[in-house]
Amino acid sequence: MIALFGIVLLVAALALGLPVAFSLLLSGVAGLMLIGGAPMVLGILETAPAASVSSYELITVPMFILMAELMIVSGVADEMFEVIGRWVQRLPGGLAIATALSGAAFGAVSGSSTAAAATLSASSVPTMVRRGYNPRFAAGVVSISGTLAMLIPPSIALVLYGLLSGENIAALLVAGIIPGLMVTLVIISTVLVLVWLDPKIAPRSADIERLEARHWSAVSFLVLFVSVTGVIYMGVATPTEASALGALGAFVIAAIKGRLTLRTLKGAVFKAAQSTAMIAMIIVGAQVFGYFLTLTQVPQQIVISAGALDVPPWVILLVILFIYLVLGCFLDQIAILILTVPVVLPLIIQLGYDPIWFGVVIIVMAEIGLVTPPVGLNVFVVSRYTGVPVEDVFIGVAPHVVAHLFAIALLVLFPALVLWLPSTM
Amino acid sequence: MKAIRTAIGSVEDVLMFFAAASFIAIMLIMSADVLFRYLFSSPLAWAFEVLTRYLMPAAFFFAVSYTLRRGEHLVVEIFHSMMPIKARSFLLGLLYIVATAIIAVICWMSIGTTLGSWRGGEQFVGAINWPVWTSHLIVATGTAVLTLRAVEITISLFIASATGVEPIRSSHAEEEAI
Repeated sequence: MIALFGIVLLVAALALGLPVAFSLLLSGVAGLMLIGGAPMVLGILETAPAASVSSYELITVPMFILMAELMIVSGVADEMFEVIGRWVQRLPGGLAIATALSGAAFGAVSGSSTAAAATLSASSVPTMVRRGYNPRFAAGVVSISGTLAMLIPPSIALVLYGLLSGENIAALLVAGIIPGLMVTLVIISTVLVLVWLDPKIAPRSADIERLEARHWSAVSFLVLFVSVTGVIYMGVATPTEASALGALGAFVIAAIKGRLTLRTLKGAVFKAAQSTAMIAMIIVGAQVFGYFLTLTQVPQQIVISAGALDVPPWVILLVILFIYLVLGCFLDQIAILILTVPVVLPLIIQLGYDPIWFGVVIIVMAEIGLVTPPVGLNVFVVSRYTGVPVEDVFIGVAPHVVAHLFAIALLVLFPALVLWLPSTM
Repeated sequence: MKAIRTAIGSVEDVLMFFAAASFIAIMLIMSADVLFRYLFSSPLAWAFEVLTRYLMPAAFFFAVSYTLRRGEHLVVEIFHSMMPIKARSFLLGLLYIVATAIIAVICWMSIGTTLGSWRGGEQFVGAINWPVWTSHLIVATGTAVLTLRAVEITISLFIASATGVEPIRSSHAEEEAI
């Protein structure tokens, strides 16, 4: 009963527009008050806030965010589209394919899907529209390609999942590589099918767009990718150390490219600091709410109840994935991870599934949440940057949502797609 | 009200500067630690304590109030925007009263812990014996400013619930001008 009270209070606070972090804090404290009274609440409030942010592994999150912001400052992210566009623009839907590959490349040096969508919007949509591409189709490809940053290492979402689940963060990041490439291929395949069905949406122009050669961008991108994901895979540095090296690498690249001024540096660091404060405050709130949830024994009861059900594990898994799909329509991906992982993961382990595999699968589910109405953040970002109406972007991205569900089905049927690469570390 | 908002904003700006400096310091110290370990087989023995006890708390607690002022804390926007502004502001104001009280308690506890550590002369045991109270002071300072900002937002919400006019949540225009 107390657990229900806490959860209802949390939902009400979220619905009324209280920041997620404060909603967790408030409902957690209210629930703890009912269970253990003021002494218990004071004891937790004395230690939880400082302890939550003093974790060494948590440093990975701000450093990956800083790396992404500095890469945006460097301009390399913008130029990647031109580099890749030169290679593939002769193919049917070539610039849309270039957008998907640029999304993957941006994802390999940044963990932020929203930043990827914004950057891709600015660089690829104007070129596609100039070449006569259907704006709805162009904006749809950009929205879905932006989500790749969430999966391809360095992924902030996977680091957070690692912090929440206690799983090996290096293995999680490496586990995202093959699914990331697979999802990229799924986006490209969807583009090819859509162009095959209606060639007018991506006309093949006789005169090839003169996209500038940006070899320097390609080299700096490769250096940064190797210095982060490469060192994690080879075990040269921990993900936390690699994140700081990555931020430093992005800093150096931005400086060499002459883009690093006091103003741009301040902008990048301030943005990174705000994103970190937002995430860390949610972690503080979730820590307090987590104490409450643990004391109510809700996660254990869910595990016991689900274990007693007379249905095969995959049915329960499908229900869980469906719940993630619905949650993704209404909640931010970070909030979903923090709210659900402590409750759902024990059940997943009980069902016999691998927690690293599950982490990657729910990140791919979260990617769908970024492009589905009513709160598909990437769609709003792309609409704002390109001027394509929100509803048109939602329509444009719909075929990719269906294709993404197909990709998830493959990951569920063949867990080795996720687990093979980390097993070679 | 405007003067109070500006005063809190000035303190937040100063703290944000330190948060940003902490970010740069984390990047440099951690990178140096890795390079020293590989090049000279001599990692920075003090790095772990400084990173986890001082720089990470500073990067977070010094930025948290500024982030609230900028409206950058994650909010589920879909439902409350459907409500009339007066009712929405009133109910949100009530929730903010409780949230503010909780943050104030965290601040109060942190002040107590800071003073306790200072009087007791507590130190972190490591390569360098850093004083514990300075780490707690970061939490106390950040949550103190956060409490003030939360109070300001609470008052703005109740004014909005009476007038029906959206509260002026932050000096966005001023921030954009930076």
